[in-house]
Amino acid sequence: MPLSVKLIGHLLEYLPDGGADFDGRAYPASDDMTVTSLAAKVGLPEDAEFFVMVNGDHVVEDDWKTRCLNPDDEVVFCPPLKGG
Amino acid sequence: MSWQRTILRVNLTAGTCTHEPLNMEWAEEYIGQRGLGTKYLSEEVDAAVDPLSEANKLIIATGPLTGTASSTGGRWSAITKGPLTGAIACSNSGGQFGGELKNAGYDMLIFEGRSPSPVYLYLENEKASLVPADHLWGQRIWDVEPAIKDAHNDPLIRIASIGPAGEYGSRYACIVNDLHRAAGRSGVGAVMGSKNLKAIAVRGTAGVTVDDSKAFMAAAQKATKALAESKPRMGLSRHGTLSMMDITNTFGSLPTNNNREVQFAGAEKMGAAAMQSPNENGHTNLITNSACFACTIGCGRMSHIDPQHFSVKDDPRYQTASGGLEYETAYALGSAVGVDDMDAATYAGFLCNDYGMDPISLGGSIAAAMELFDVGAIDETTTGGMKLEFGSAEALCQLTEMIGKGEGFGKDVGMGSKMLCEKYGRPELSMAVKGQEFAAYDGRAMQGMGLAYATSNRGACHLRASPYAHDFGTTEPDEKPQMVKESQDFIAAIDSTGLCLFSKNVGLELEHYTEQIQAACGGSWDVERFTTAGERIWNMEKQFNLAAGLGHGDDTLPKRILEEPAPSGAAKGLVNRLDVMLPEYYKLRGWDQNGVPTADTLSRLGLG
Repeated sequence: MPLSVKLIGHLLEYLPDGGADFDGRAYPASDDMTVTSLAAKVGLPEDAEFFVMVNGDHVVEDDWKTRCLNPDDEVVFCPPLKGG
Repeated sequence: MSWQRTILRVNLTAGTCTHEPLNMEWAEEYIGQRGLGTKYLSEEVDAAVDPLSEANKLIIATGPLTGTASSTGGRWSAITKGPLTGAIACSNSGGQFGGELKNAGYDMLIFEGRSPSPVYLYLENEKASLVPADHLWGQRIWDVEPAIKDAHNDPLIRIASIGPAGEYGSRYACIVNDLHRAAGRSGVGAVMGSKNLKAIAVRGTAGVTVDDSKAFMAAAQKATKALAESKPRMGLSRHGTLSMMDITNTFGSLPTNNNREVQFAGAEKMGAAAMQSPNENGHTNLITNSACFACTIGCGRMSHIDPQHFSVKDDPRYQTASGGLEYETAYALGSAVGVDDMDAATYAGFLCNDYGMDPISLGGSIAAAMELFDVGAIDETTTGGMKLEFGSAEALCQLTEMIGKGEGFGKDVGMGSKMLCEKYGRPELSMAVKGQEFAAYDGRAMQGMGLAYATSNRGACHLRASPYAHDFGTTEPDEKPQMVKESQDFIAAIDSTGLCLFSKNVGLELEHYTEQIQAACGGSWDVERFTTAGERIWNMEKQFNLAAGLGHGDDTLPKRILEEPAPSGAAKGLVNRLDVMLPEYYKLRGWDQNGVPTADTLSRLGLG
């Protein structure tokens, strides 16, 4: 079962054509998929700033390399936008 | 030098306009705009005055980079003692007015006294006159601006004015310029109204010079290039600030139903995608983006309400394109009051621009009124028959108009949530600090924002510190005091330059500011001098507030944020840890345990 992946705000700008062809259901979970490896697969560069929610829970950056993702997890990548 | 070195002092009681030289010693220490305007206010106004008395002053200030080719160089501020808070009020606006004022030759306008009858100030470069405005008093802003342009036969005049809300003294009345930009917070519009000053109209063709034009153009182009290449800037141009709705709702820091909840079921209907998508009638709210003077970001929105929407169906006045929702307004007229109707929120936002009201405080005050209704502290007898229920778009629109006119229950709500909730015996339901309503971030998931609200010199404010990235990274309070203090200092400096804070939010570094200031103003500017100036400005504001009678007890948060755990999201089960953060913050500031700057701190900053 594929993950449900959402990119919010300007994170789409890191993808080709501003993410026009981004499909959030195109990422099947695998045994070793972590938040970090998913971010790379999606195409977010290492210097992109974001925070991550998995199934509504906030996953702190220290846990990105170890938090394994399960099939049908809902993963949201959000930029830490500064306000107005 | 890109200061014009000129102030216009307007004595409204005597009806005189006098040109004075700018105090250049102060300009070197306080830069301009927020810093320099606050310095003048602190020196000339007793902090204990009644904000709506003749003894208060209203200062309109530009920065040294206002009116130049620096990207975002169009900002100006209104500085006064705020009637909503009883504290220092400094409200920042964009649009075209600031650039025009600076090009007319002015660093600052100082309004003192009270005119015996309504007037507006007309400036044409060095020519200044007070023009009778009895015929404009009572008029809404969207009628005032064209009327003044017609009177002078000049469509290029830029105008800052108040609407009926400022005239009757709503405590969150604002000053609107260019029809849909505003010096929004703290009731600066009520101060203008208390002086019988309806508008400031300016035509400026004198130009702005810089100290080293070659170095300035290089520095300005470097900053513009950094903005052009920035992904966050691309997002801001494309979506406006409305992307934030998805972010705070996902994280669990979107204040909903007067901060009872922190996530909103209707958020998707109020976000950036909804604004750009056709509704069931095939109508799209967003027309295009818009930019302020010299801005290369263009975060503003131009919107149009569906002509079939209940709010405008029988009201052609608002069947027009005008300034649309940005995040704060979408929150205040959306999740804060439980409304998920984008066109209703846009309509209420149009009313705010036309009657001259701060939508953040208006939304916070209506949210408080809705909770008072919900708990039975008020009823339909109080509201004049209106069912003031969370989620009612009709009630939102009706009450907003009543507040704008100062009619019935609307006049009560126009005094702000603190006075409203105190009147009806439930002061704890006001989500405000120092009387100023929260912005669109809940301080339980965003612990640093809670500290920022509590310590902001002008009351709850999301623009006085920049805890965002840290807050979205962790809810642990440990590093927040340092981060909040540092960002308060550099923001105070940026707010004094004439540039927009959003330029920092989307990628400029502090060096971009100091390089432009150095080239424009001369002298020797580096990041340390710049941030020290910001720290000096922060402490000067604090001193004004202490003299005005505010103290340690005012650096706090509502009980809801300190004692009621967040019901969902990243902070589920958490309250704000101000008890841990505030003492550490005071220490970092060089203040005593009561939040009073020590003699050593004042001496170090040249304030002793």
